[in-house]
Amino acid sequence: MASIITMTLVSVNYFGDAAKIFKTTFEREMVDILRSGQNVTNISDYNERIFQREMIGAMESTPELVVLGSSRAMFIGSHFFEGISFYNSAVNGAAIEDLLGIFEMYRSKEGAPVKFIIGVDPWMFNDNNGQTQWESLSKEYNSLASSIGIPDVDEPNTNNLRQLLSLSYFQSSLKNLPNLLRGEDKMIATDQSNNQANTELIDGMLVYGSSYGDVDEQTVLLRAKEYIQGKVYGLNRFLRLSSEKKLIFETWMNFLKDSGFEVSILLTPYHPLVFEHIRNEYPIVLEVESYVSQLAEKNGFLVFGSYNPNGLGITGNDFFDGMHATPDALFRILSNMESQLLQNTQTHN
Amino acid sequence: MLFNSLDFAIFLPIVFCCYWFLFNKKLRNQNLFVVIASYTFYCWWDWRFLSLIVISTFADFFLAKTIAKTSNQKKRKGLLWLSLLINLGILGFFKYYDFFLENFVEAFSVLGFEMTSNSLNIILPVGISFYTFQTLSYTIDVYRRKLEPTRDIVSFAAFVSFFPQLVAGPIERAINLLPQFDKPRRFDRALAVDGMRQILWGGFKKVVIADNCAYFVDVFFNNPGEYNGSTLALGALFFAFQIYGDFSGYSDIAIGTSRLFGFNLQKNFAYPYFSRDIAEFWRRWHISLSTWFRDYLYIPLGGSKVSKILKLRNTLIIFVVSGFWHGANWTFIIWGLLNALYFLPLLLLNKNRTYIDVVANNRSLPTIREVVSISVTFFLTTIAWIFFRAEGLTEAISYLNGTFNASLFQVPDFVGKTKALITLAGIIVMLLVEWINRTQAHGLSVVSRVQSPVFRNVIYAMIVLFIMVFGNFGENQFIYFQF
Repeated sequence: MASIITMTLVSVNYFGDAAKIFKTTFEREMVDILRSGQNVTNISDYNERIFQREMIGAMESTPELVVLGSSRAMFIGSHFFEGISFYNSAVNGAAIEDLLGIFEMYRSKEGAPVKFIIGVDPWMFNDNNGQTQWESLSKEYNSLASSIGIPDVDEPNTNNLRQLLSLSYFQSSLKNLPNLLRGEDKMIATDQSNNQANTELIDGMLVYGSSYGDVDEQTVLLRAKEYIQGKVYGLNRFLRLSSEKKLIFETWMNFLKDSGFEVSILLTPYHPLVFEHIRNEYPIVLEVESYVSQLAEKNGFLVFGSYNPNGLGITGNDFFDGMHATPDALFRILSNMESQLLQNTQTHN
Repeated sequence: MLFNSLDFAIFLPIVFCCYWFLFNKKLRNQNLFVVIASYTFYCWWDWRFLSLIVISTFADFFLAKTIAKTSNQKKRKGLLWLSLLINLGILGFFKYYDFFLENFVEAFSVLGFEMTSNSLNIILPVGISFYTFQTLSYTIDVYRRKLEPTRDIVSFAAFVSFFPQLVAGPIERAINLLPQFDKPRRFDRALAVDGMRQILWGGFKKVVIADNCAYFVDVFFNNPGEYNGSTLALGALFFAFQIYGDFSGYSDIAIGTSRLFGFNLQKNFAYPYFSRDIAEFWRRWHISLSTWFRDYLYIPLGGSKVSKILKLRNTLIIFVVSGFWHGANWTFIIWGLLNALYFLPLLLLNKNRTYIDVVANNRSLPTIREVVSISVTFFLTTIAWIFFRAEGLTEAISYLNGTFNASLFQVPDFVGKTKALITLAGIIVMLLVEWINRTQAHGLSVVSRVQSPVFRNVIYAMIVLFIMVFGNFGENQFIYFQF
């Protein structure tokens, strides 16, 4: 019986493969579709870091403006900025190490971008944020670390065998099995940007599927309540700004400034209900905003937005859930940036 | 390493195979291997505190030998006190130093004296409350001449550090466990198979019941002001089953694992939520701790063979000390006091031994009266659990106030109702299974009587599937590890 149970566990994990860790060509296939000029939909739970590596690696020419950040910055699209080439390289649950790793991918290409919008999230300065996905980019991170003089990190063990026996992976993969059996787990090339499932556009912007994205304010409010029920994402045991993360961030900011990159910092707001909760339970978040704003000013970088939605004219209507503002909201926050970017572009030309 | 982890799933078969195939020729070698495996198991948690187990082991081994050799009663008592000082000193420092310091400073500030304190933020070594009590039972029993001291340091070290019960009990008595290290063990297939059943049942209680309840308990207890009375009542109910599933689940895994190696540990839980009064509850909950306090504290204080006033005093002391054993926080002391308040009326009326047999013995269903008694007892213990779980006294009272008001009769209002319903269904399944097995050693004992091996395997497969599909694998620690 033990062998039957083990085989069931291994089979479901391998074939269900919730995070596509055994289907190693998934990200490459996404890139092929996007580079052919079409959007790609019906995508979820893949390794976004590997996708960025494949995508940036395949770029024949790099864009002038790049977005780095977490999922909270993924809804910024090229239509925000007319007349400038653009790509959104935000990845979900981004840690500081992700920002540096993806930046390094661009830096190592000929004709690297000159302008970056960097979405900074409060958990990036929490030693206990629980983020480990950035480890997929350790190689790129270490490459930049040695250039700018910060400690490098150990490259992770990429052996996925443990996941074959993982019970939590089993539960996720089991949920994926029905789609697999119906043949509905395949990605789809499309010219549409609005689809039933999540869609990655050719400019790197993410569009939520209609089932998640097209909801009323009540549903958004319910999602916001769920967001603050229990531990808030990335803020668990967040008692002080990590000196290690601050060192990394400050060193990188100095490097960007000294190297002549144009940087705009984006602080994406939280849903009003969530922000009220954060203000009371995690006041350290306000410290993060203050710290990042002061550092940006010191380096001559612009800051757009705030974690506090109230001063920005952002309401509950402007969110998908507790932490993701809509493209319209982000556009309003960044509306001044376009003219400044254009001005700078014209000056450079 | 947690019992419900991949590390333990790899560790256990390796230890099992080495124990029965490599080291089975000589008893001493087998015991030495148990020591090495147990120390390895402990170091996986925190190697820095292994030294405390070693100190406790050597101190009590030599002290007990000396006590036994000495006929001078004064010297014997002095050596016993030395053992108590070493073990309780270690326990007291690591567990209670900061608590006493903080309360001392606060008491002085209330009197108008400002003091600064440098609390040490001492890390609590895992299992310290369990193994110190275990070694103390040895020296005390040697002192009382109930037990001859062992001459074998290896078997004694194995007794102290035996990995299945090292970090969260049962607290074994030397009289029960130590002789088992002195006798050759033969592999007993029936014992091992039943051990596996008990491990399976313990795993179900831990990852399906306890860890799923834990999600809601954390949410409701961390923000009680955001929920109505009925939701908070549900939170208290979930905690009652979280702590039961967690602790009795761990005990089942510990006892089941021990049986794989040919050892019989004492029962630690006897279906306490089927108790008809609080006295019965305390004969069925954490049996190894309550009997330890009975034999080594209550009886030396005079036990029941004293005047009524002193009997009440002794009982109160036991409950308060038991509460304090659980942690350095006033909430645990209040929890102990509350249980004392529940118990004392029964003691005064000589009704504390009304229910000695199993509920509905020789019947399949309880009577209405039994259902009422069980419900009332469960309600009282759940109220006390609120203090056990809350961060502080203020939070506990706030939780109670939030529960017992008009909103108790509203519909529960929280996100995750489907998950809560599934968890409740799991609790009902557990209660039904344990009701059927209420006269047996553990929740799957009755399966051994199923004649058809196919049907037995179907039952096991269903439980395993239940664990795989509904278990919470978010690596929640066992609650009692913090003691």
